[in-house]
Amino acid sequence: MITAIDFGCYAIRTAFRDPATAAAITLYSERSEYAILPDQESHRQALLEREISYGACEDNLLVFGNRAGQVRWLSRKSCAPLFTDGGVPTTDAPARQILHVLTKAMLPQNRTEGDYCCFTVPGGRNKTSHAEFLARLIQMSGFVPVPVSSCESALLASGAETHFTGATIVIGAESTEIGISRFGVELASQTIAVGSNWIDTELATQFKFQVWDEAGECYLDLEAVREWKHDDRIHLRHGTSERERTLARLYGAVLDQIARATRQMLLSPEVKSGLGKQRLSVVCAGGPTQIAGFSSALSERLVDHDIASQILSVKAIEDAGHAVVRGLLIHGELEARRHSRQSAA
Amino acid sequence: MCAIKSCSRLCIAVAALITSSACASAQEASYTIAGDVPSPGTYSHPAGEPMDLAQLLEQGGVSGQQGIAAILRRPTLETVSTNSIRPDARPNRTPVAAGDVVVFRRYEPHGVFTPHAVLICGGEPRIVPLGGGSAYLAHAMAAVGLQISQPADVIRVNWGSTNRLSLGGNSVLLHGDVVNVANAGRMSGLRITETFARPKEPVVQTSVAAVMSSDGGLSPVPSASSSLFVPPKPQSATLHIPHADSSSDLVVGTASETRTAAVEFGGDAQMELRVPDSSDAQENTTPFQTVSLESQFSDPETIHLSDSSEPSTADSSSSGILNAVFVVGLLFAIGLIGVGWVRTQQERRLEIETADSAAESTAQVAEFSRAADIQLAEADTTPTSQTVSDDCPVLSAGIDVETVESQSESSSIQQSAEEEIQASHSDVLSAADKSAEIATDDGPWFDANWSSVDAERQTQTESQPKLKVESKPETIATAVVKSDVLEDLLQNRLPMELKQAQLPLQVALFGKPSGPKRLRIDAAHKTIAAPHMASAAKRAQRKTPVAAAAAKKTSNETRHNQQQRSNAEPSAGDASRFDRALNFLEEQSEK
Repeated sequence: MITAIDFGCYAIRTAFRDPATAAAITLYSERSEYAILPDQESHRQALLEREISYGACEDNLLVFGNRAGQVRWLSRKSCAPLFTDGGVPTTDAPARQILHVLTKAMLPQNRTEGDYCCFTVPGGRNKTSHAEFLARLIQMSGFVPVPVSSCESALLASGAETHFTGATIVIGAESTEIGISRFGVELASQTIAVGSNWIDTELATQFKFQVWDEAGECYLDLEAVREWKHDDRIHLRHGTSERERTLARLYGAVLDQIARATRQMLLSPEVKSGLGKQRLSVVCAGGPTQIAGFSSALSERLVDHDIASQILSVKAIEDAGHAVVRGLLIHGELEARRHSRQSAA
Repeated sequence: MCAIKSCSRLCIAVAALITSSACASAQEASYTIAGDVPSPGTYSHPAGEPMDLAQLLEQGGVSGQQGIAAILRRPTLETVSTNSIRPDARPNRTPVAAGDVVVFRRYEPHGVFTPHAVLICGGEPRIVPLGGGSAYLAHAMAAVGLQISQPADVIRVNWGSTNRLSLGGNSVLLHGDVVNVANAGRMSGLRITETFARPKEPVVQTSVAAVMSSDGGLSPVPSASSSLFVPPKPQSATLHIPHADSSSDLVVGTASETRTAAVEFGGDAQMELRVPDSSDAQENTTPFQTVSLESQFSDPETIHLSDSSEPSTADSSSSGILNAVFVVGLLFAIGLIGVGWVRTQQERRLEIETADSAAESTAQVAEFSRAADIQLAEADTTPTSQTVSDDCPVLSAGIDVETVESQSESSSIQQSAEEEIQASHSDVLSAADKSAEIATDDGPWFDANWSSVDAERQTQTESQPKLKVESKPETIATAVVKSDVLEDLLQNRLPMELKQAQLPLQVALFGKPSGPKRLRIDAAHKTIAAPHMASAAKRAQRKTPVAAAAAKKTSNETRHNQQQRSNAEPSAGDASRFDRALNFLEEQSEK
């Protein structure tokens, strides 16, 4: 069984084809965060009654996954990320254990020996220490881990129309990956350490999205910013309020960095020799690309950096949140076939 | 005596009337609301009391609707603020100044409101209904008795943006537009009374007025789906004034007379008025006469007469020519667009074909080499063969099998196939070299000879013999199924079923969680020390240059004593230096 797991800083997603439901892909998605509650009997009782899974450690109860956002009001604290600063945490031992619990629970159990599991590494697969840790988690579940970059996955998922040629931009919560490929072969790639969390943090700081716990400690309420940002009426180019205009400016700052990196890659000798004067289709994936007006805002930035003449089109994928995990599945299928052919030979 | 009394009473009455009207105008302020509102109009409010946006929207009938409201401030109708109106939010208390025009736009396009525009002429806003949602500017101004000679300033409020347009009489006025007539007059350097003169008497029937519908609205602008339509020329700067006699005043008219005088405004400030000559008695019988004045109002000798019926026939003939020119131009533009579209499609098709052929060649090379390996390795397997199709998809090429032909063959055929494969292997490798050359080399790929290169490669591909790959039937079946799976994944045809993962209910974790990041806010100082430059001790020690020179001699003698004193008792200014340290120590001791 081919399995894929996308370790995202916003959510962890797994996808596989269950033999029972072969006509569809089974998808699991859990938020990559946890909420901290004081270890009280009332809290334990409430969690058990509602069948909310939790972990107990040192006078604290940690609720992880999708249910973390539902119980965080009990402690009036923001949720803590499982991937601190866009990577596997080194100082947060419970977070590493929660990653193991989630990985084991989200991968299918009815596996066979040698099944592949393609996965992405937050911050790019060049972070070898993070990739090793996550690969070990997958191995403990009985799969053969195959690290794949997010750009490559998104290209496999959405590049059939463009013959797997073009630029792919995957904007995540903590980092942004940009890649340029030709017929499925990656010519250049780059990772920028900025994503939608930076936008949310700036918005929360400027507009005082804050929560206080019972001890008087102050936290930024990023969840409130996300709830507001996910409103369908918000448009990057037609902001009617000061907050929307600030959001557009912050998006502009991120897109400016992306356009600059794209320009650098287009000027690199590898891309020049591989693509020549061919105009590229730009495909954007990731949750932050789903906001209205994203494509036109990115087009503006590409024009500002004088690379519009090398761009054929700019498109945001419709199922941008699931494109990466679907691309991982495709990569797993190809990898399995290559392996079977090699073993047959 | 009676006449004097009556005159004095009349004067008193007139004075009282003027005073009362002035007081009334001073005590009330007017506000205008327009746009997607059920009751557009100008509303009065006591001048002393503050007025806000929510009150004005309520007066306009906006309740429970979502949209934006732009506040335009006169006299220039600048946009002072654009407010988002939401029913679930608190009422918007943005203050509105006297004379402001508020344009409300709903998010939902449907609603119960009458299409209209706002014309501000001489400081007085007027709501002009637009029959079909739009009308020409000249018609709209004619509805209020104005005629346009120069572009007017039109403010158009859209979703989140306010556009300031300069429109002429032929331009279309849309629902919710605000026309600043006074501004147009100011821009042109003319006074409002000169540019947009307004007759005192009932407006003489003109051709512009004839387009008004019976219900008071304006004739709508024809849609694009209707037949070819040439917008009528507006009656540029022609104001018809009732006229009685050629030698008398200009604005004199009687009910029995139907002759009219027209004031024409040219490009400059000179005005022209033509008054019918008294000698042309037979022409006076025509219902309309255009009279021009060459700016010399005082000289009736220079007044010329012309009949308005003559230019109307000329206009009709010229409008036919204009129609023909317009149709020809339109057809020419459509032809150009069509040719451009065809060329674009051809170029795109060529690009796709080029990419297809390159991908196929790369995939075929890999397929041939892999198939040859498989053939050599499985030469002694069951006799089942399959023909590899040439048009495999890009990534599944060499992997997927589209056409499968099952047939049994003898061992001699296997031998011949093996020889054939070995013979073709060298050709495949040479083709692979050539294909890689094509893929990496920019020269033949991107220059004008790419088509010949492609054709050459295609002929090579066609000349290659078809491979017969032998394998077991089970393997073929799984390959076919896998091919469908991969294609479905690539084409995003497989739906995704989101399910809830079964997480363990309770797990034991070790270590202390880091938790979310806290915002650090420093505690306030309990006592704030005065700044050191303001301390009295420093001021006392400050010396003038003269005093400093006098004291220089004794400074060396007393320096030792001062140092001893400073060590013994610190000055008051030094106390402020260590306030933070002291506060910190106090806090520590309190803990």
